[in-house]
Amino acid sequence: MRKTVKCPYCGAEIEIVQGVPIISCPYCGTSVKVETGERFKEHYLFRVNYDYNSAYEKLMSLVSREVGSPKDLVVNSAPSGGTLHFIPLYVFHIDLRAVRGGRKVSEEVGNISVLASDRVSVPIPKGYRFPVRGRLYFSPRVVKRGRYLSPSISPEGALMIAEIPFREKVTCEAILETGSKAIEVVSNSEFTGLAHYPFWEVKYSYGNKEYTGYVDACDGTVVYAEYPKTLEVRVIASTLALLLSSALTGLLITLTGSETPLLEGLVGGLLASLPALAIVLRRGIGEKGVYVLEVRKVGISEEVR
Amino acid sequence: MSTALKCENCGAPLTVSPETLVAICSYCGSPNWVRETARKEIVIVSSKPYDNVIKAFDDYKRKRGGIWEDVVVRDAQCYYVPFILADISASAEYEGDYRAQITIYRREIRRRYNAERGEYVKEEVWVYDRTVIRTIHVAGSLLRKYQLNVLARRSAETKGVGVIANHFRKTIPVIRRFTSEIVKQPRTVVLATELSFEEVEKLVIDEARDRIRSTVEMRADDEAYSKAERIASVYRGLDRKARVNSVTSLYKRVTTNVEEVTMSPIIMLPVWILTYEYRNSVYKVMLSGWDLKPLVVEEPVTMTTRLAYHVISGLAAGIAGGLGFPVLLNGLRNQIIEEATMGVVIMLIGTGISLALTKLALRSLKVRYEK
Repeated sequence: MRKTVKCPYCGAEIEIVQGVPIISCPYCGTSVKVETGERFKEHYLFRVNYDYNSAYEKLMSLVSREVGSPKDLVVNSAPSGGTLHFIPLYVFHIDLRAVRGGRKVSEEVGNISVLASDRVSVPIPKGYRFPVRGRLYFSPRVVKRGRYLSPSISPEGALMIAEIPFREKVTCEAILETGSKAIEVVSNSEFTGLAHYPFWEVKYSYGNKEYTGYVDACDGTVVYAEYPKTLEVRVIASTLALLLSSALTGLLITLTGSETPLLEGLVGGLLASLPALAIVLRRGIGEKGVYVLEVRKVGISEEVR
Repeated sequence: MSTALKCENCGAPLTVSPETLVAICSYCGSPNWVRETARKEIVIVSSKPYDNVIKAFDDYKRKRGGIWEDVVVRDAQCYYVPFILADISASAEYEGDYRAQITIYRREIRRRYNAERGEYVKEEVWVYDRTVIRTIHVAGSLLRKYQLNVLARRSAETKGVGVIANHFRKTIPVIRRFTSEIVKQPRTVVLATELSFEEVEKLVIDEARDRIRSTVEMRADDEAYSKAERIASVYRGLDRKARVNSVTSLYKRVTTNVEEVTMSPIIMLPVWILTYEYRNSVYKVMLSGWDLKPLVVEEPVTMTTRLAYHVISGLAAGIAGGLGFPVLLNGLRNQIIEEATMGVVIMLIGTGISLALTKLALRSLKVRYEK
């Protein structure tokens, strides 16, 4: 059994992953069919629309808004390096039909992209939607510097997982339409190709420490960011407001009631607000703050994908 | 394989992805149909220029006042976004069988010996009488009209873009035939159209069916429930109570049908994405290009707002803590478990509310949808 295959473009020896039919050269990105050693042609690349500097700018504008990040963060931090990661995606054309007695009852058609590797170093948030369109044909000359990740799961396996929500939907619809559970789902889904999607890993330094952020290089979304924490005005004021308000209210409540000792209300109020206090204080105390994109809460994103 | 496409009009190279249907040349603005078979009419709503956008934003700032006086515009960029609007009418027929379980109670007068008063007293009690099980049949049909706006690009499906199409439906601006002069303005990008009419049609039909299906399913459930209530009411009387215990679906069938689909031509709608700066941080505003109305506004959370949330959060914790903690202590002192638990529950409710408010207080920006 061969352990490596030679890259048809740059000649590098690429390691084979068991059971994965296509691999990508980590140096030039060229994708190779393991079986024949030929170039894999249905290979696309998502355009890098954000260069290192604009990715850094995106990162800065995000972390400076976080409560707990120092006021002078933008002014006093400096970019200290970056890597462009190309993440492999499989693109599928999903085509599922629910059939009963030879007749089509419902169907689901769509195109989706899913991660082709389970060894992705970029912290991509759950539910992050990759575009299906807007990709270019891959050419090793397009991007020279960048780290290409090779697929590590087979397209069949990825398709099976990708089909699950579509399968459920088509079955539910068919059961409703026919009122019967004897339904067969026929899949005509196809693997339409491999695409590499760019992410910037941006490093910046602030006060002798280094922090990392990840930015979608195609549409500029910051998916993950570390930032320095300080006990800044916002954190201190928030803590005080919470402390005072909960203690005073607790006290007042017992004042209006009759027999209970005053202190019990005060202590009770403080106790009930402890978890909230911990959250506020954690914003200001500790080594690093971490921001992770919540997919549902995206505001305005630039429609340039 | 990739072939370098050139603009039919000026010969400049075009940026084309494997799915592009229409690419608008970034030099001369003329439309190039990459897939000739998909050629259809394109119309456009023309945008006001950059200077007007800045003026409109200044007016908005003045209207909002407060922190908006310190806001500085960084940049603005106009995108023409391809939309296809569809009007679609769909019908659905439904039928279903449900099983309703109704419990009936009857009133009884009982005699009970009262030790304190040393005598028998009459007491009214409701006792279980029997359970009635009925099969309910529901059936009906429904006709609905939907207005669906489809972004003719597969990729960018964010909350923001849909707003512009709704605003278009609401304001009905002037549309004209697409000409390259309209898009040959500075700071303007025309996004390529990537979905064909066939694909859009499939999409809207699927969406309309999904919507009517869920409406009709809910209607069938509601109908079954109200029928069960009606049956229960028959059993109700002076000495009887009846309660619907459960209504479970035994069989349900919904047949959907799309009656009519009308689709607009490809409409290019102008959207301005304006970025502004407030205290070193950057935020975005989305304005409609034709009437320059800010539709989606990202805005900073001010210190006053944060503090207000923290104070209310403390208030919630304080009330619950102040009430619950003495109850808890009392319970512990008298060794009444129910009372102690009650105290803890009251405190936990307060903690939950205060946590939720704290999350709101600490968020990094607010997204505001202008009406």
